[in-house]
Amino acid sequence: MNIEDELRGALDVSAPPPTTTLDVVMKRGRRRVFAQRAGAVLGVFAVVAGIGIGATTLNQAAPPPEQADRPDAGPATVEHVLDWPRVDTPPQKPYGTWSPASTAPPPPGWLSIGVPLCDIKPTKRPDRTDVGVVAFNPEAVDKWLDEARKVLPEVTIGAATPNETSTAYEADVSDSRGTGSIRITVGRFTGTPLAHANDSLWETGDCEPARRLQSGGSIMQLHSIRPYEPFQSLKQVLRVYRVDSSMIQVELHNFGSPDIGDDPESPGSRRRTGAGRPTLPLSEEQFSRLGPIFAE
Amino acid sequence: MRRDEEFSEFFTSRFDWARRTAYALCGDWSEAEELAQNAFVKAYAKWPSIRRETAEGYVRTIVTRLFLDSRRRGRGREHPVAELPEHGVGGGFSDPDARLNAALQQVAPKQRAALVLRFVHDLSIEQTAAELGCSVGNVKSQTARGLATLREAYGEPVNSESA
Repeated sequence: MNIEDELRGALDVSAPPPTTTLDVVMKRGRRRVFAQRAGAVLGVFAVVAGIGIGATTLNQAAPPPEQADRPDAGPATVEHVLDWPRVDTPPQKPYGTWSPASTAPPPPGWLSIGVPLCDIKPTKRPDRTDVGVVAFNPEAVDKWLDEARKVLPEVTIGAATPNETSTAYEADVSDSRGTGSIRITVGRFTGTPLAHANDSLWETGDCEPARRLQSGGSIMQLHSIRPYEPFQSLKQVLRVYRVDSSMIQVELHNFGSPDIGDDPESPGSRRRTGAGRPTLPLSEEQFSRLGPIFAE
Repeated sequence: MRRDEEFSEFFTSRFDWARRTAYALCGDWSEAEELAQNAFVKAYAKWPSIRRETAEGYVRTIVTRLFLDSRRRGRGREHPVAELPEHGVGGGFSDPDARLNAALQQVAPKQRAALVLRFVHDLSIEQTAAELGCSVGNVKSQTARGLATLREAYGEPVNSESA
């Protein structure tokens, strides 16, 4: 006999009677099934609770919803990327943070934007001869606005309204979130577009260098959003320094004609009566689409 | 309930077989009873997903793995002895096959499991590998070493087949 044969008979040994009964096995089995099901249910609850806690934690850790401080956010369904590079120069050091004045606060529900404030550096020009001193004809404005409507089909751009001297034209810009406006002025400069653009780099109170793009010989320069009184008014400036030594400035505002009314204290004059909308009517990317229209 | 009826039938026909398998592995009737009972409890919990024709193999696999798990956790329950006891273990029950059982207890647990599956249950090397959750080569080497240890523990020369 070999050892393997010995092994083959290993089960055929005399054994004591079993003490385990079917009842015992089935009771323990049922408890096990119950425990497994309870564990699965608890696991689902734990996962759901974990997701809830995680979402709550992330929500609290995320920055607060941005409105006026990020007017370039735009509609959530549209990707906005402005690829204009910033001018390669160090940023300015802020001297403070903007907050609305108590005499003309923004409407309830608007978030305070807390934009850093930086000094406006004087230019080398002897006076402000470049902005808002040149009268220009409404046909040119209408042509620009027609082009603007083509590149910005997602907003409504109203008719241009000139000021008394025809040195500035304003037009409402509206979308589902309210009405803002653009204001167009024209000026002249001497020297090259680049030199003038550099000279004006810190003229609007930016802290970060402006974004800049060259188009032919013209330079398009997009400055940062600046807040001002009353309420929480917002303005962003796009300047186009053209090769013909003309400079076109387009201001984007978060208020429009519905927010301007007669001034009862000064008959015949107009003043701000409404706060406008919490954000600018165009994102940076949308605003930048206007640059080439004025550069040509 | 259909589930309980089927399981009851299976338990009645195979519990003693499972207990004897466990005894071949552990060499102690009390522990064998515990191993077999735990295996059937697990089988009951999984019974709806177990096919009747594979239930036997399912229980055998559980018994084997429970045994190996218990040995991995510690050998507190295993007491190899140099001399064979005069009486079988397990409540003074007299075991005429105590010699083989005692020799088996000298074999390392995994080698013992390989021997039990290969020769006691006459499984192929591949089936043994599947039940132990290891490779075919591992089963071959465990079997060869186990047989060598068993022969030495058995104490007299015996013929051997190949592993």
